[in-house]
Parts: sequence; structure tokens; C-alpha cells
Amino acid sequence: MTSLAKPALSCSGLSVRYPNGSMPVRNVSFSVAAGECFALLGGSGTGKSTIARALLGLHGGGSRIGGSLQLDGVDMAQASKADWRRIRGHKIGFVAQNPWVSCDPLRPVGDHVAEAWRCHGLPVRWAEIVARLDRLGVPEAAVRIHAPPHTWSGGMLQRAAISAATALTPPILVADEPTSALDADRAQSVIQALKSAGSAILLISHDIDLVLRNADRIGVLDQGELVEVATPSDLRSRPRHPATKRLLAALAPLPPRRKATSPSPLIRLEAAGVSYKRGRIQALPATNLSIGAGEIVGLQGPSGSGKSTLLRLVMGLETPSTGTIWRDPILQRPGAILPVFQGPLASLVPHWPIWRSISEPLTARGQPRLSKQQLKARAAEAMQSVGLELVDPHARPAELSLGQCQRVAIARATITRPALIVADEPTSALDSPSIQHVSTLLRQAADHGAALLVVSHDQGLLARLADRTVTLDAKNLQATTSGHTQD
Amino acid sequence: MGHGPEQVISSDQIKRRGGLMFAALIRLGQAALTALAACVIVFALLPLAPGDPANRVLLARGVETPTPAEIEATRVELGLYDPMPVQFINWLGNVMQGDFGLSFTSQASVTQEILERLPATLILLGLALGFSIVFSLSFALIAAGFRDRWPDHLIRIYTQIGAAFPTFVFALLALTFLIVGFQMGQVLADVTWQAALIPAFIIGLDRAASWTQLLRAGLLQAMASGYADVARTRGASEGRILLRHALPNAILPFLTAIGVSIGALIGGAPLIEAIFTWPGLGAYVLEALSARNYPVIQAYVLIAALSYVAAALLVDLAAILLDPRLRDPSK
Repeated sequence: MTSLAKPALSCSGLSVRYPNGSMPVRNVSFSVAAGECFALLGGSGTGKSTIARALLGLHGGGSRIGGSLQLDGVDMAQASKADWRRIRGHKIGFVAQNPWVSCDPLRPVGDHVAEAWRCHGLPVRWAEIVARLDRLGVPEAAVRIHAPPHTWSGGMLQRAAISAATALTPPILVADEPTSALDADRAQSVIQALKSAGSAILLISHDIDLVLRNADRIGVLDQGELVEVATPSDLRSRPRHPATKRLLAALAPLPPRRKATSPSPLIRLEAAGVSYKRGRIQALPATNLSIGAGEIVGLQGPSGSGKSTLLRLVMGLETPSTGTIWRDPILQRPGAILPVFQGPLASLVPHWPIWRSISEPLTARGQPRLSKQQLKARAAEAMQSVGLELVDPHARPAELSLGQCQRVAIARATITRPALIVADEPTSALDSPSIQHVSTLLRQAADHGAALLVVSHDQGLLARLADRTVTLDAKNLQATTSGHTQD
Repeated sequence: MGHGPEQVISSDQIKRRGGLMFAALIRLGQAALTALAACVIVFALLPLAPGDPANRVLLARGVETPTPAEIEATRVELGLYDPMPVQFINWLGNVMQGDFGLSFTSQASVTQEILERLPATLILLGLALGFSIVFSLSFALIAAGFRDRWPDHLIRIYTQIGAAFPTFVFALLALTFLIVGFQMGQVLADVTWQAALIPAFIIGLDRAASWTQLLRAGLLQAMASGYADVARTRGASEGRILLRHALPNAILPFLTAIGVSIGALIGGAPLIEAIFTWPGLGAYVLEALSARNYPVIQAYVLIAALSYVAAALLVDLAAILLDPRLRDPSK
């Protein structure tokens, strides 16, 4: 896509310097033509979000912007706060990651959209709001705009956010991970809505799959620098920079399974269901599920379909209201079922050194008593097995990246060689290279004989990782199983 | 508020309006139950108190050494042989008609005695409450609007001092400097709004300290939230975000704190009134406490408890009006 007109956005030699002197963004130059979808791709900590905030003038009082930053032909690098306030909404729009977080929970969604006009003192054109929402794929928009955000689904609410961001038809729209809070099946349609809204798009994402499918051009960020700009097909076929190659590795299939799964189940749910308040609230409809040793079972379904309840049932934290659960006696011993959680940082004790978190399952009842030195040695072993041998075992979780924290969590979950590992969205907080690393580790654990139940909304991940996937459907209240052909 | 588009009422909306009524009715029911429980406890003060109530009543009437016959007659008169639930219902019936019985010490109607002193207390406490709400609201908004600049620093010093010292320290200071030193106000106060100004100002300033802290923290949290950030990217000014988004979101915990402290305010009134020699209920209640004048204590405790229940109910209703998530029946 080429345009003879001035670019919607152009940066040259853009840098951001924090008050402490560090520079999270260095010498970044790119431009986005009218109507183009330009993606900035990079793992966590590569400066993506810092660039987004700088482009909107939200870089914070102490930070300094260097280089030039042109919005619709006007240089904003040294603009004042008042200048920025005037052009936001008019010259640049923004769509945030999580639509529920970005809406004031007390106000109806229509108000959220109308703010785009109101905060510039412009009259609100309700008919236009409704028409635009309608065009973006929000049915019954005239009625729905009166409802508060918590009654909206993520995909619909993100459409409303797109409508608000493009209300004043800004030439450029910055979208920072606009789909990562949404279910996978809704993500693509939201991207379509984003592209149909009429502005050029700067799409910021760590999701290489999403970016390859949707962007016209892709810029790869690594350690605050733009290391490569290419079209999706060039990037895929001829990646030049090592960082690009690392990102692409996330799309590569996992190595084939080493071990055939055992036919005898470790745990078997027979029409097990959970309901609360004497059956009035159904948390999980009657579900059949069996998991064998060494088997990886994926679990997916929309929010509210009972995924978490099913996990709690399997872990024995909840008893079924109907149906039965049969467990192999091996699952009765303490530490036989270990979890891996969604938020790696939240699942580690913040003031513990990581060796202590990793070795904690070894201190459970029924385990042989080990000295502190022995525990540290076992933790070091486990860290080596997840590729963290270069990390100080005495470090605290906050000193590690999210991907490293999740590997610590996996080291903890595998240290006692549990019979069953239950992972709840283990990769949703991670960037592409970390996702690849974590899924390889989970696969290894299964190859060593552990059964795995993995909940994820990332269908690509489940397709690569799981032997078969169970889908919980909120509407039919039925669990359907689909197998993956893997040879 | 702009004009909405043509109002289309869907079944969805009717359900939501029903949700509002339903949630309000639930809160009302809870408040009524709490009030009833408060009545039971207050009633129980009397039969659970040590000694024979008949003896105490007779003593109060000046009969120091009653005969068994007199005691018997008084017991029958007080209905002490009735089962406890019957006694409670009789008592509750009287209370609902505004009859708390006769004071043990003066033989006068407790209701009458309270009504004589209540307006003074209401004037002082009402004014103090008004002051503290106005102070804390404006201080918190100023502090959050000028975060980390001198108005914020000044207000934070005030909240620290206010929260660290008990009210009577400021009351004594005000008495010494403002009232005695500069002859503003009166030492022995008449019950007028003017006379209540300085004591109410002091109480309000003191109460407002912790509320300011609470509201400032809530406002700053809301100003750092995702929706505030997104409002900034739409071009909204900081002031607009503060008033339109941060204040409504931060005000619920603030209102709850106010509601909770209404009971404490009334319960603490005797101390405050003693310092300012304010002729309200305070001295009367203190005297009743030392004389174990149970009907008076009962009446006062019930007033404090019911005011608390009413305030909590108002806060709850405000909350469900303000926050749509609280009136959603599915949550």
C-alpha cells in the first residue's frame, strides 16, 4: 500500500530517556502511510508499550523524547501537555489491551463512546454513534449503549472502544495488544473491525501469528531498537535478525512425542458436574473426561463455561454435586497433583528466593526430609532442566522476567515428578519466545510420564501441545472432544 | 449529561430496573433486621443488668427499704412475671410510641428529657458532619489534583497530624486560643448555630483527616487506572478525569467510612460535649451511666444504633444507585 500523501505517522530517530538515564527506546524510525496497518512486534521488555505511550504523549513527566515524531505532518516531539491534549482523539486514537479495564465501570458504554466528543467540547451525535457501532458489528447498538460495561462481552466492548478511538476520524490509530484479553475466536473479528474503522493502524503485539496474518508491514523490536522492517511474507521466508528468528521459532511445531500414552486412565470423571445454591447455579454441566499417564489433554471454552471448576474438580479442591470421579491411588499421595497458574509472578511468594519456591513441594508431607543444602541442590538441578542455570537461585521473583517466572513455576511443578500437572492458561501472560519455551517444557514433563491438563484460550498452542482437546461449550453445556493428528 | 438517543426500552432494561428495586428491597430488609437486633440487645440491657429491676425502680422512687409487698406490686406493675418475649414486645410497643419509661433518678419521662437536650446535640453533630464532609471532599480533590506539589504536601501533613492526635487535643487548643484567647465564641455556650460553629469546625477538621486520606488514595488509584489513561488518549483534561471518572469511582469507600462513623460520632458525643461544655445529651448520658439509669442508657444506645443503621442504609442505597454492578442480579 503506497500513498503519495503525507504519512499518518512518522518517527525518525525516536528515543525515550527515563529520569534515571536508561533508554528503553533508542533511535527508532518508521512511518505509517494512510490506510496502512503497520505492526510493531516484539517480546516483553522490548519497548513496545513505551513507544505507544510516547506516540500519545503519555510518556510521563520525567521522561524525555528525542528525535522527531510527526503526527499528520506536525512534529509533536517537544509538544506541551496542552498541545497533546488538543490533538489526542483528533490526530491519533488509542485502543487499549483490556476493554473492561479501559471503560469506566460506573458509566454506560454509550457514555464511554460519547466522551470522545464531549472532552473536546463537541456536540455528541448519538445517531452516528449507533450507526458506527452497528457498522463495526455490534447488534442492537441503540439499546446496548445504555448498558454498563460489565454486561458486555469482550469482543463487543472492544468494538465500542474502537468506535470511541476513531470517533473524530484520526489519521492514525494505535492499538496496544488489542486482542490479548479476548478469546481466540473473537480476536480475528476484532482485528477486522479495527481495520474497517478507517484509520491507519499501528498494531502493537507480541503475537507473531496475529501480526503475520493482519499487518501490511512489520517492524521487529529488540531491546528498544527497531531491528528489521519487512512485509509478512518476507519476514516469514527471509528473516534477517536473530530476534526475528527467535519470534518465528514460536510458530515451529514442537518435537514429536517421545512416548505413547498409556491406555489406562489416571483420573476419570463420569458425568461429574458442579452446581451451587441447590442446583440454581450450574458451574459445570455433567462432564466426562479421562486422562491417562503421559497424556496431554487441552481444555478450552468461553469464559463461564466451567473450565476453572473442572480444574478444581480434577485437583480435588471441589467435590462433584453429581456424577463420580475415580482417581488412581497414586493421586492420593501429597504432591501427586501440582498446578501451574496463569500469572507467574502472582503464583510465586514475592519475598522468597526462587530456590525456596522451586523446592517447596519437596517439603510436603510424605516426602523424605532434606537439609537446606540438599533442597538448594535439587532446586539448582530443576532450574537447569528448565534452562534457568544462569539465573541466581537467590534472586527474588520480581528480578526475573515473566517468562523466567513461569519457568520457575514449571520447575516447581515438576520437581517431585507429580503424576498429574494442571496448568491454567500457562502462557497467556508470556511473549512468543517464552510461550515456545514453556510449551516445550510442558511437553517434556509429559514425555517423562506426567499427565497434563492444560487450559488455554490459545487454540494454536493447544493444537501444537495437546494430544487431544476438550471443548466446554457454554450454550450446549456439553463437552466435546477432538483429537489432534500428530505423528 | 447529553441527551440520549430515542429511549428504546427493552426487556433487558426492565430487568435491570427491576434489579435496582430488588437490590434496594434486599438492603431495606437487611436494615430492618439489623434494627430489630439492635432493639433486642438494647432491651436485654435491663433484664440482664445485676439486681432486681423492681428494687431499682422503687429506689428511684425514693423507697429505700421497700416491703416485700411493695416489691411484689412493683414487679407486677413492671410486668416482670411475663415471659421474656412478651416483655420485649410490650417494651418495643412502648418504644415505637416514643415511650422509654421513667428515668430512675428524676421520675420524669425519659423521652421528654431527651427531647429537651437532643436539638443541641443534633446541631453540633450535624454541623460537624457537614464540615467534615466538605473539608475531606475538597482537600482530597485538591491533593489528588495537585499530586506531589505543595498543596498536596500541605494536605498530607494535615492528615497525618489530624489522624495522629485524638479530637480533644484540638478541642483544648481551640478552647484555649480561639475561644478564651481571642474571645471568639463562648465558653459556656448557648444552643445557637453561631455558638456551635467553632466546636463543629474543630470536630469536622479532625474527622476529615482520615477521610481525606482515604478519598485521596482512592482518587489517585482511579487516576492511574486503565479507564483514566484511555480518557487521556481521547483528549480529556486531568480535571475532567478527576471529577467525571475518578471521583464517582473513589467515593464509595469514602461514603462507607462516613456511614460507619455516624454511630461512632453519636457514641462519642458525650466526650466532645463535655470539653466544649455543650448543653446537649452528653452530660445527661454521662450522669445516667454513673447512676446506672438504665432507661436513659437504653434510649441513648438505641438512638445511636438506629442512626447507624439508617446511615448504613443510605450508603448502601447510594452505592447501588452509583454502581451498576451492585444491582446486577446475576452477580
